[in-house]
Amino acid sequence: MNADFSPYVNRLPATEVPVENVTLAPGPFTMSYGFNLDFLKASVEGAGLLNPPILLESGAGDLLIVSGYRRISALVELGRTHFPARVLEANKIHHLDALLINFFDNLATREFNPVEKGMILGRLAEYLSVEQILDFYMSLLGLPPRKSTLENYISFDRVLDEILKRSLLDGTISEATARALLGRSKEERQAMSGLFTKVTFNMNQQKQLLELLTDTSRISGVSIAEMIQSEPFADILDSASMNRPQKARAILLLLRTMRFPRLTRADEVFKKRVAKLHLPQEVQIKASPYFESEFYRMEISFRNGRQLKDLINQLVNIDGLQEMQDPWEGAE
Amino acid sequence: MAGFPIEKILVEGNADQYGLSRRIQKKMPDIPRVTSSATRDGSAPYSLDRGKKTLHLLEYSGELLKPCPGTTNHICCGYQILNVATNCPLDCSYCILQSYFNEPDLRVFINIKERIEEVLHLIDSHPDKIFRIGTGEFTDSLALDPLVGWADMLVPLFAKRKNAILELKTKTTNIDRLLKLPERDQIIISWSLNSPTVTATEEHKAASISKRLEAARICQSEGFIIGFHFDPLIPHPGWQEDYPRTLDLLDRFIDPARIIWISMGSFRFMPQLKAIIRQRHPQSTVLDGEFVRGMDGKMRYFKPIRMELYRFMREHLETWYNNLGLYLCMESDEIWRKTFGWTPQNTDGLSRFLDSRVKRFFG
Repeated sequence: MNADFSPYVNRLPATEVPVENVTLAPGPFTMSYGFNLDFLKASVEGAGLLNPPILLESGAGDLLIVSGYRRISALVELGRTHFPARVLEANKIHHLDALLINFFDNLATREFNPVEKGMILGRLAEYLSVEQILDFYMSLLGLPPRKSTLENYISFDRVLDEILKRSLLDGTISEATARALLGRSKEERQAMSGLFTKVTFNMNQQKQLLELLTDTSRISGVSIAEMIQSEPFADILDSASMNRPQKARAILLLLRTMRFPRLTRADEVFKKRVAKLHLPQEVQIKASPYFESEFYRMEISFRNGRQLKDLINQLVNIDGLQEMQDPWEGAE
Repeated sequence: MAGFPIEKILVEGNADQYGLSRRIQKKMPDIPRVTSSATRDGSAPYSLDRGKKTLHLLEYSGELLKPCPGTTNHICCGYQILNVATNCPLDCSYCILQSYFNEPDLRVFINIKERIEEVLHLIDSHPDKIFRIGTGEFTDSLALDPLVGWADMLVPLFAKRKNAILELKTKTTNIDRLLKLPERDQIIISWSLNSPTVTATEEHKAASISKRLEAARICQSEGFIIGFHFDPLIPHPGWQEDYPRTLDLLDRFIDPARIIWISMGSFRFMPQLKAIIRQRHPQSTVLDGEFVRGMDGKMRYFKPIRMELYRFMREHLETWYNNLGLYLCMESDEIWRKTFGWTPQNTDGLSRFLDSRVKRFFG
């Protein structure tokens, strides 16, 4: 890494800069996403701007933000018209160096979120080789030095829409889900981002959801977007009687029924047959996972031998117990 | 090589000391040869695609004879694998080898001739035991045979041994070298079969069913004992009409009385294979079934679907001929009972059944 710019930057005095001269949109050096300005505004109001931002003269006459994007955003929200800043001359610093100034300034003081890591890596990739990034910068960002990881993070910033980026940052979707969504079409991502805003899926449920949606869409030939907009999904999403986790479970159940019709049917028939037996409440009959074993299990809870004997006597006299069989056998 | 384009030969370590390595390279004078072993780039799908075009010649120092990697709670046939190569130039979408080996190249072990004595000694020192040995578990037994010449090397050695059979399992029609050999004893040539639809859409680079059966017919007429393996059975739209088409072809080409065995197994896979199939074979429909996690951790069709498949195939096959040596590959005692009407109960029982078939056909 080249740090030749340090003496030049460090010697620069802060000068008062009018806000109107600064390009306030996120520029080529910014790496802030999904932040909250409340504490920063309180800090600026309470103690003033302790660390002047760094700006760069652009050829067009205005000033680009190199470092201090959040501070300047806070100042603007507070209605300030001028602020102290160190202004770099355009011909005295390379854009990569300006980017690195901001990177190291931030690296020392805070954690980057996944979208910010993607912004940083994407910007570094404009100037550096993949090998240089993998060898040096990935570990600084706490990431494994793998090309696929680099590509995924850059895509978090460039491919995901705003809703999904926010969902990633607030934990609504996991990084694994975000990665999985990168491989989907824009329409699929949009359909799923709509789903994630209405329903709360935990990490494991997100994995199941993506797999079930993908499989069911492939098998049925109906797009994921169409499936999510279809009536059974809409009924769940619009339900006033279910909360968000309940909706998640209902959607997964619906998808499982579509994806595994015979298994779901077998489950239903088995439960129905067991219910028909009217077993004492201390007795349960369970099937093995997916009915893979040929054995069923009966559980009896009892306080003492006398109760156990009573329960066994009751079981012996239950009509239909001897008819128990695999749910796909016999009349439903 | 026709059908299986080799783009690179990778010679590892001392491989060139062996005559087989030099002979193979002599047959492919125009193919670039490298000696580095660094062929992987960490991207599995790309590596697998490239691996299928890279012939990797190397010494093998591990166990030459390995028991078939059976699976817990399921009955295994007790077959033993003669480990002559790993991976396969064919490209079946459902192939479990895609997630089984770390090395994606077509690895051919060039010191088999030098090491086969270990196996022969084991066979000879257990005269009361029948060794059912095959090369078709980790590779196709005949796909690379025109290049490597396994048949020439192995068939004469096994033909002399009454307590062993060598099964060469394939989806190709590479039988020319076999036919030129005088030996027939103790050798079984077997073909993997499927429905014409599965063959056409999922078994890339493999011979069509009718070509496989024509090759089987020729082998049978030339005195070889043959076998078949309906594995993996894959229910697909119209499968009840489609599998019988293959059975019709069997009837047209093959004398059932001279089939030593026909196995059946439904598609099963370790969960990690799913992502590889999705990436490498995006058009494949083999993952469309109702798969559940079996007692061995593998994904299998929901039990009544498996039973329906086996019952259907058994009924049709037994209508054709009622002594085909039918057996199930990696299924439970329950499935055996409920679909075949009998059960070998365990791996030993199935081994005894298959050994009895060997005795019946080879004395």
